[in-house]
Amino acid sequence: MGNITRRAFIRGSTICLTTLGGLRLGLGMKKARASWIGNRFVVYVFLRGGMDGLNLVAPISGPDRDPYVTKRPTIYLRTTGETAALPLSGDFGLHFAATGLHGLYQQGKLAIVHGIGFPVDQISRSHFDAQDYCDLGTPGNTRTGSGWLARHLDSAGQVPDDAQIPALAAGSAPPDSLLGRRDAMTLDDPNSFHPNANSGTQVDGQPIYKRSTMITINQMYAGSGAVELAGTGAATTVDLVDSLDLADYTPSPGANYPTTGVATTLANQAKIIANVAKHEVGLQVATLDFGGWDTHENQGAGDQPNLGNNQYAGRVDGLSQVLTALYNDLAGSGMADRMVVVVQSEFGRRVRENDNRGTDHGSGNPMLVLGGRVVGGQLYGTFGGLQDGQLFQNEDVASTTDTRRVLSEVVTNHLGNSDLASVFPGYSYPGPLGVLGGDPIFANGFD
Amino acid sequence: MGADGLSGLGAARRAVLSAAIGNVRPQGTGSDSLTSSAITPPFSAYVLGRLGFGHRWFTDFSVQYFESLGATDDERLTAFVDWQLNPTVDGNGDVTDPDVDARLANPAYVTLHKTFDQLWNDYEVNGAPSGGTYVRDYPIREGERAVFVRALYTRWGLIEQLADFWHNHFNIYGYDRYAAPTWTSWDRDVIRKNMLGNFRTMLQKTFESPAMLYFLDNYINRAPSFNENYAREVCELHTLGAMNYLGPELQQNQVPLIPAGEDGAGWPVGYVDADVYEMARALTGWTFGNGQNGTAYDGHQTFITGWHDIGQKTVVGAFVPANTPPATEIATFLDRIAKHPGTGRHIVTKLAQRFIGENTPQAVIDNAAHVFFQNVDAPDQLKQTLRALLLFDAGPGSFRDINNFGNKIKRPFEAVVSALRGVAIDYTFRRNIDDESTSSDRFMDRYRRTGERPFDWRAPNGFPDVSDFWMGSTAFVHAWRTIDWTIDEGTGTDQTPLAPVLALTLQGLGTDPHAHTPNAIANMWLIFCFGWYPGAGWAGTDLHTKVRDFMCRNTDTLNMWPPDAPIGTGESGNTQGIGTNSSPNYWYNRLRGMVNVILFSPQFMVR
Repeated sequence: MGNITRRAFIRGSTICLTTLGGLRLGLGMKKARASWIGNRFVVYVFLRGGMDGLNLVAPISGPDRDPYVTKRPTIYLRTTGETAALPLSGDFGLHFAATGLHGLYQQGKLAIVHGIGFPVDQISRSHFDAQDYCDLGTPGNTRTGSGWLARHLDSAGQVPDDAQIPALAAGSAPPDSLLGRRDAMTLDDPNSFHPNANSGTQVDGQPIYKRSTMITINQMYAGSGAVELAGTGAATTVDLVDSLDLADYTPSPGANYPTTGVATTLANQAKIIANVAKHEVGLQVATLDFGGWDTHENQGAGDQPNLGNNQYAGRVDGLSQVLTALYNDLAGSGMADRMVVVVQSEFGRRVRENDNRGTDHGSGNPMLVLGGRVVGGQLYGTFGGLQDGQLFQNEDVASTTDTRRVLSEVVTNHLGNSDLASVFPGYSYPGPLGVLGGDPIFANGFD
Repeated sequence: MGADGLSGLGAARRAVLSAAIGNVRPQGTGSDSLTSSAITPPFSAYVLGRLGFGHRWFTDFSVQYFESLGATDDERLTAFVDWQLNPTVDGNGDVTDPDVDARLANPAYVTLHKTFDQLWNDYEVNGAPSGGTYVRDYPIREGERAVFVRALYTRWGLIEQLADFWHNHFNIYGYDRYAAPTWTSWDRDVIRKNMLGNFRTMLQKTFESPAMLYFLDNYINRAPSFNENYAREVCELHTLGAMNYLGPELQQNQVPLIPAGEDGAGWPVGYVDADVYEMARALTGWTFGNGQNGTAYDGHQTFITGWHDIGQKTVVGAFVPANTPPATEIATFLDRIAKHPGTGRHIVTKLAQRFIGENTPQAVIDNAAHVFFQNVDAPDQLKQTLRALLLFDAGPGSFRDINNFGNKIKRPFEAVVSALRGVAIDYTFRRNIDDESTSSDRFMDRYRRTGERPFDWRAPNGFPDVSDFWMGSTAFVHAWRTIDWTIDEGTGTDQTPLAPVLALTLQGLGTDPHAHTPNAIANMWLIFCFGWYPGAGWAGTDLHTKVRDFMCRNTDTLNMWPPDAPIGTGESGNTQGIGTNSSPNYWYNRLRGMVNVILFSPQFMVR
């Protein structure tokens, strides 16, 4: 299985696929340009369910402290005791369970952007709509046939021929941010990505008809039909996972991925990304999804240190451990500068807690940006304030920075793609917030 | 006819092989075909793969039985559809099937006959007793396995496809807070009881369900800052659909009206955001008894007066004055959206996508949508609509057009279920309670990784029904892996196979090893898995050659057993029969591996 085989297959399959009706494709056949900055990649982490960002990054002093405490009498973050918030900058503190992220903030590797959301007319409290707006990169429109990460990969001939795994969805199904890219590999567990279940007679520790099965599958799926191409793609992925020996992975020392708790699966998926990145197979975009944030009831009292009795804190703890481990894992291999991790949710939650000691769907929310090149240890954007007159629709933290602004900075500065008109159609980019350092490198040789 | 395929096979080995239907049609020529290699099957196999989960030997849901239903394909199709749409039912109106019912009587199934109130009491109120066994998710855990039992063993294949369709249409995440403990009732009383009945009635039942009221947040929908989640989805997903949404710019008074002479004349042609907001206002106060805010802790729908917006409202052209009794008000609006002709078009379009293809001729859609509209108050509205959709002949592209074959990929559930039906599986998946049921847990562990675990879709739009979504490597590899695992799995102290591959082989070809050649084994299993053979048989086809070659190929992938050489006839170097499993040939593994590759083939993966 040579390097060329998979990419050539995808190119070849594109030509055939475009002649078939009824399939969403979105594979642009732009002229390949050397615009991608070799080896840099983005990890797009989506917290599904509407993560309560106001309790992740909360006012611990200043004019917003009193309204915050008043409006969240059960769940507000404390400033003293076992559950005291961890100081960030200015008047803000980080949730007590996010100790790993706090350390990265202090090291200057984590930046936080306040008030991320959509233009007022496109704010939606529907999970389903709001997630689509984020994943598709087109607020207000859920019928776009492609995701923003897919369009990034399409738009500037980003993907070189020898990139074997340019796009990786670490999970059981690819998120809609990759909709349209047939070459996105979806991998949830490299240990068992094979049609032969590891049962029955084995030879040398492998199911004995494993190779023979793959030979027959490849024979049966020869052909130009969409199913034949899809089956060949599946077989190619199996062989690729095998040839890269992805099942055998040891993280860098100091990368302590959790092995128990609510984020165990997330940890295993993050490890796949680190593993693939280290194999130098042309990774450019990777996705992670972490759900369970829809805390309408019993979110967790602000003075409750026991993670088993504080569902929000437990989830924050898991997220913090995984992100910290992922950063340390790449840093340990000297690759921290190549990775930017963007963490967001489809919306935040209402400022006032509800009658059930939880929170309902809101809008404005913080976004996390993590990586070696990040200008961290700072808060960006504008926090709209928690006084009654400052809330959006008298309910939410105001959305003051468009989600796409930060993503655009990542796309242009980190990935070297200045074709934002394709990645975020209809969006007028006002320029970077400055979360990423260094000179943005632009492609040369435009058409 | 029993679900156990062995008894008939033993009695008439030759009859089996000759009863397989020889297909003489050419390769699929439909322009929407997803496959360049699969051969078009006989009409019977095409129908069984769509209006169910495929052929199963020695049952009424088989190629052989279908062929007995009339003299022409058209006659047989009509008879088959009418038979499937009128299943046997018990005194409660629940569908009965002797094989399914016998299997679901297994002691591991304890929730299936409980009423809603019993479920609420046993699994919600008392679901997590302090110091006791946690049982609150028993209904969903049973539900996710019962659906396999039904699909694998029932003769009412169309009923199972419809249940899958309507669960997706009114999708609820099965592990949701109030869905999990009441799932048995949601499945039995809301979805299955109504899916051949009246749509407005079905919609009402979903609206009254605590699972739905919680899942889409209406249980906390209160004036003045209403929660629009349920209102949005009841318009966008459950009734009119995005196809009838006129976008965020229009107001109600800008929506054109349906012209005179058309179904629904005088009503707005579709809905806008304001209709959603008005509906949300009408829905304020409609919650369920969760013991909070003064409600009884009984799970029944209830209404909180202090939460309701009492002002006048208009939804899709239906006006209700201020202070109208809330039950009348919401009934008016649900009537309007349930009975709107756009709803019929939306639902029929989705049904067509499931059963016909993603480019069904408009005439077929329009005809069935009209039947839907004409029967909005009929107790069998949905049965009549589906019948019209399946039997209407508008020429090419209609359901009866065999050229549709190959325009849909089997989703993981369909791929796994049809494969296990094809190998006559004989195991009852159930909640794990003892050594013999642990295979159920291990099966679900493999199957869930396909991404189509039953009732495990978190968003209200349900699993996608477009082939594109299911043609990724994860779906293929994990469906195949699940099939492979099941065929290798044995249960109990004697490790009885879940699928009797060896026994079927010995009965199909006889126990004399002189008949056990790779060519003959491949031929037998192709016939057995598919239920038919092309022209003069599978021998000589590409698929047969590749399958046969698998059976010839040794573990080193280099040495090839001659395709016509019998296995295990006793001479030196050939003392191991196909039931043995030692070096160098590991025949028993190879035999099962060969069955696997048939089930992995493009021929088996499309429908």
